[in-house]
Amino acid sequence: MAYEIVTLGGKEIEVDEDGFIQQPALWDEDVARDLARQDGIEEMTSDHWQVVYYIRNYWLKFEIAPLIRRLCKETEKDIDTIYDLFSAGPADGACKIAGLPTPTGCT
Amino acid sequence: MEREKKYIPSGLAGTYMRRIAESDPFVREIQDEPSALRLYMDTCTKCGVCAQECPVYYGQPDKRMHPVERSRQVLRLYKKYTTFWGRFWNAIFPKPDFEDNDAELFAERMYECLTCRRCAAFCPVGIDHSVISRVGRSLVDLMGLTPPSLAQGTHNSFETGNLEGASVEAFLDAIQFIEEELKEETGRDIAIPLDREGAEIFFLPPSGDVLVYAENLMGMAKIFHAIGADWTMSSRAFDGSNFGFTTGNNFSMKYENKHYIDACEKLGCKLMVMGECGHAYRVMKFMASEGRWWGALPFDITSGFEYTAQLIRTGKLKLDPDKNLDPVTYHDACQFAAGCGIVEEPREILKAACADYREMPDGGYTQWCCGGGGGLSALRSVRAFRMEVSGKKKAEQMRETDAKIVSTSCLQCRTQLKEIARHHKMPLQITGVHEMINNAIVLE
Repeated sequence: MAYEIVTLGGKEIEVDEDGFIQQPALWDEDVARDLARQDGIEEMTSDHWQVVYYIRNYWLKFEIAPLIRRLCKETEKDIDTIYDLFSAGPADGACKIAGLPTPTGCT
Repeated sequence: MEREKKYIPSGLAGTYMRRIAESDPFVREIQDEPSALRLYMDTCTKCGVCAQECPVYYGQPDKRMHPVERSRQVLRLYKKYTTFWGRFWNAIFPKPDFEDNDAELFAERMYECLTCRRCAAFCPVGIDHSVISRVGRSLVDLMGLTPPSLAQGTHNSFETGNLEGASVEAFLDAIQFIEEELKEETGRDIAIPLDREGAEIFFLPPSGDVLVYAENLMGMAKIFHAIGADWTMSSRAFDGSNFGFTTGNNFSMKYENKHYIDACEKLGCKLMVMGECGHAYRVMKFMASEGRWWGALPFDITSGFEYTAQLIRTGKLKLDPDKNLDPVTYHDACQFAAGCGIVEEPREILKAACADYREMPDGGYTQWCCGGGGGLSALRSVRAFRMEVSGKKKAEQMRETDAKIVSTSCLQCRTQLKEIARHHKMPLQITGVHEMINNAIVLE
C-alpha cells in the first residue's frame, strides 16, 4: 500500500489514501488540530476533545474503536450530536482525528 | 497483504514460455473459472436490457458503465486463453494482457459493478454480470490491485478471524458492555453465552454487529432469552462475514468460511443461526453447504431472518408494534434478496414489529441496490461515485416512501444508506431488522 508523507502538527507523518495516519504513536493535539482542519473543523471545542480522547483512550486499551452506542453513552452525546461535531461521522471523522489507523470491515 | 504484480511481461519469449507451461496463475485463474462464463460469452446478444436496469448505468449512462462493456473486458481475456481461436491468434501475434495503465483502469472498472444481480433478473437469457465481474476481480486480486481497505479486511480475517482485526479481549469487553446494556434496558440478566460446548444453537453475527453496532445482537439475545433457547457464540469465530467473496479471491472466501464452521463443529452445536450478513450466508448456505466444500456438515444452517420469522409465525414471540411508531421501510440487501431469496421474512418481521410499514419501490427479488454493493461501501475512495452515480436512485426511492426509518439487512447497505441520507440531506434513521425487534419485544 502506498503511503503519502504529509506534515501534520509540525511533524512528518505517513497517511494512507483516505487521510488516516499510519504512525499512531506520533499523534498529539497539534496533529489532531491539523487533521480536524482538513475535515473543516476550524476550532476543536471541549466537546470535540472529549469524543476524541474517549476514542483514543479506548483504542490504546483495545486497539479498536469503541461501539457507537458506548461512545454515545460514555460521552453523553447522541449520535446526531456526534455528526454535528464531526461532519464525516464517528469513523471517518472522529476516529481519524483521534489518530486511529484506517478502520476496516463493513462499517 | 502485498502481492507481487503478475503482469504478463512484454516480449515474445517470456510471454510464450509462460503460456506454454500454463504455470501463470493469471492464466490458470481464467481457465479455472465457472463454466457459466463460457455460457454467458456465447449467449449474450448485447440487447442492452441489463443496462436499462443497472443502478450504475442509471446514474451515469455512458459506455464505461454499461454492464456488457464491463464484462467484455473480462471475456476478452477469457477468450484469449481458453478458446481455440483466441489461443491461435495469441500464439501468432502475442499481445500483453494490459498495456500501460490499463491494469489499474481494469481494476477500477471491476469495482464499478455492484454485483447486485439485478441484470440477471431482467436479462432475457439470464446472464449474471456479477459472476463475470467477480472473475475480473479475482484477476485484479492476483495483480495485487484490490482496493487496500478490502485487502486489509481479508488480511485481518486471516490474522484474527474478524474483519476489524479485534483481539479476544476487545470482543469480550464489547460483549460485557452489551450485557450491561441489556440489564439496564430490561432489568433482567440476559446473558450472551460464549464458547459453551453442547449448546443447541451457534449464533454468528457479522463482527460489525458486535464491535460497532450493538442493537442487532441485543435484539437477538432478547429473542433467545424470550424463548429460552440454548445458544452460544464463539469468542474466536464471532465474525460471520466474507470479504473473499467480494474480492474474488476463492482462497480467502473458503478460509473465512472454514473458520467458523470449525468453531461450530468444535462446540458441537446443532443449528447455526447466521446474522445480518448476506455475503456470509450465501457462501455458507448455497456454496459451502450445498457444494460440500467440507463434506456433509453435522449441523443445519439458517439465517436470523428465517429463524425469527418462524418464531413470529408460530406465535412464540410477543411484539409490541407501538414501540416503533415512526414509518419504517425495508431496503432489500442484494445478497439476501437476489442472492438467497430471503425477501418475505424480513418484511414479516418488520410488519410484526412496527406500526407503520411501507414498501420501498423496486423491492423484492429484483431489488434496486443501495449503490454500495460488492464491497463498494467499504471504499472511501469511491465515495463520490457511490453518492452521485450508483446511489442516485436509491436516494430518490427513500424520499418517495416518506419513511423516517430505513431498515436493512446488511451492514454495508447501512453504511451506504447512512451516507446517502446525509449527502442528500434526508433526516433518516438507518437500522438493522433485529434492531426493530430489540425495541418491540415484550419479555414476560
